[in-house]
Amino acid sequence: MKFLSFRTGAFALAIAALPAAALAHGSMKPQHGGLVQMSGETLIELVTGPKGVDVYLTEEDEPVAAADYTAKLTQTAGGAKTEVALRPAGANRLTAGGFKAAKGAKIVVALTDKSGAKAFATFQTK
Amino acid sequence: MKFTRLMTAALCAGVAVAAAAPLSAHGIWFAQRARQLALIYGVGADDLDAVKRLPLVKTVTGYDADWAPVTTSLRAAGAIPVVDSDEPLAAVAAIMDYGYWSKTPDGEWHNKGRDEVPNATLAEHNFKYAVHLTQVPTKPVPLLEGHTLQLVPADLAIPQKMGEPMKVRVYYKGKPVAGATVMQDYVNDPDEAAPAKTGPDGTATIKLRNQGINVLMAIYVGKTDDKKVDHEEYRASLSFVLPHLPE
Repeated sequence: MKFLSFRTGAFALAIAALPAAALAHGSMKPQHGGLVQMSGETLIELVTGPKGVDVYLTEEDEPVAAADYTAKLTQTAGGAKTEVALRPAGANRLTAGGFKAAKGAKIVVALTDKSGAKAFATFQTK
Repeated sequence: MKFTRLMTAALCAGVAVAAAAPLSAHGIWFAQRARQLALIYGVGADDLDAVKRLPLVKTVTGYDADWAPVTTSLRAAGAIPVVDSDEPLAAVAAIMDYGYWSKTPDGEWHNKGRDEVPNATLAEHNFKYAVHLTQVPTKPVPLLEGHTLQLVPADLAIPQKMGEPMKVRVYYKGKPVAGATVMQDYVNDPDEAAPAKTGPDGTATIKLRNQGINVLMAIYVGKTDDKKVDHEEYRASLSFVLPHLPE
C-alpha cells in the first residue's frame, strides 16, 4: 500500500481517490497560488487569504462548475474544529468569505455532487 | 439466430454457476465503484445485490488515521451501497448478520434454522465482516467492536508489491485463533486450492496477488449454544489497494 501519508497536505488522499491514475491527466500546478490535490478525477485548489478562503475545481485542466456542488470546509487547529460552508462564487470557484485559515491547520474540503457522491481533499496549511 | 441461442445458453450457464455457489461462500468487502467506496456482497466476480441486503448490515463504522471514529453510513446509490462520511476515512468496516440457513437433502437452502427445517442436513448461522484500509495504517489495526472474527495485518508495514508475502493474524472473539482459513484473493481466486491456515499464534502468511485491490478473506467455523443451528460460520475480509505506477 504505497498510499500517501496523512500529513502531506497536497497529496493526502480523499477516501474515494485512487492515487496514481488520477495524477496523470491535467496539470497539478496551482493556478491561483494555492495548495492543490487530487480527489478522484478532480483537482482541488485551496487558496487562503485575508479576505477568506477560495476553492477552485478543475478536471483535466477544464473548470468544473462550482454550482454543481454543495461544499463545506472543516479546519482543525490547536485541537479546535471549525466548520464553514463553501458557497459557489461563479465559474469553478467556491468561497468562504471572511474565514481565516490558521497556520499549520488541517483543512478538509468536502464536496457533495448532485447525485450525493462525496469527495474529500485534505490540506495542511503552512 | 444462432448467436442469440449461444448467448442465452452462456447466460444460463453463468446463472447456474452463480446459483451453485453455497450461500455461506459469499462475503462482504469494500471496493471502489465510480469514485465512491462501495460495499460489495459476493464471491469471485459475483457482485450481487448488496442494496437489498442492506437491512442485514448491522453496523458500518469509519475511522481516521488514529482509529478515532468518524460518522459513517451506507447510502443506496442506485444499484450499489456506497460509504458516506463527514470526513475522509482511513478505514471503514461493516458487520452483516446473514441469519440462519438450513440445507435440505434436495440441496436447497432455506433462510431458517433447524427448528423450522427438521430434516436439514446442515444448519448454520452466517456472519460476514469487512475491514477496508484506504491508506497505509500509521497505527496497528485495532480489534473492532462486534467483529467476532477479524483479519488484520500482523505487521504495521504492509508490503508494497504484488507477489510479496504478507503476514496476517486472525482473531476470533478477541483472541488469535488457530486453524482459520485465509484466502489470499477472494475476488480472482475464489476456489483457491490450498488456502493458508493460521497457526497457534493466529498468524498465516499469504502472497499478495494484485497490484490493485486485494481482498483477503478469513473463514472460521465456531461452536455455538444456539440449538437452531449446528455451528456459526464467520467470514472476515481485509481489503486494501496496492497502487499502480503513474501513467
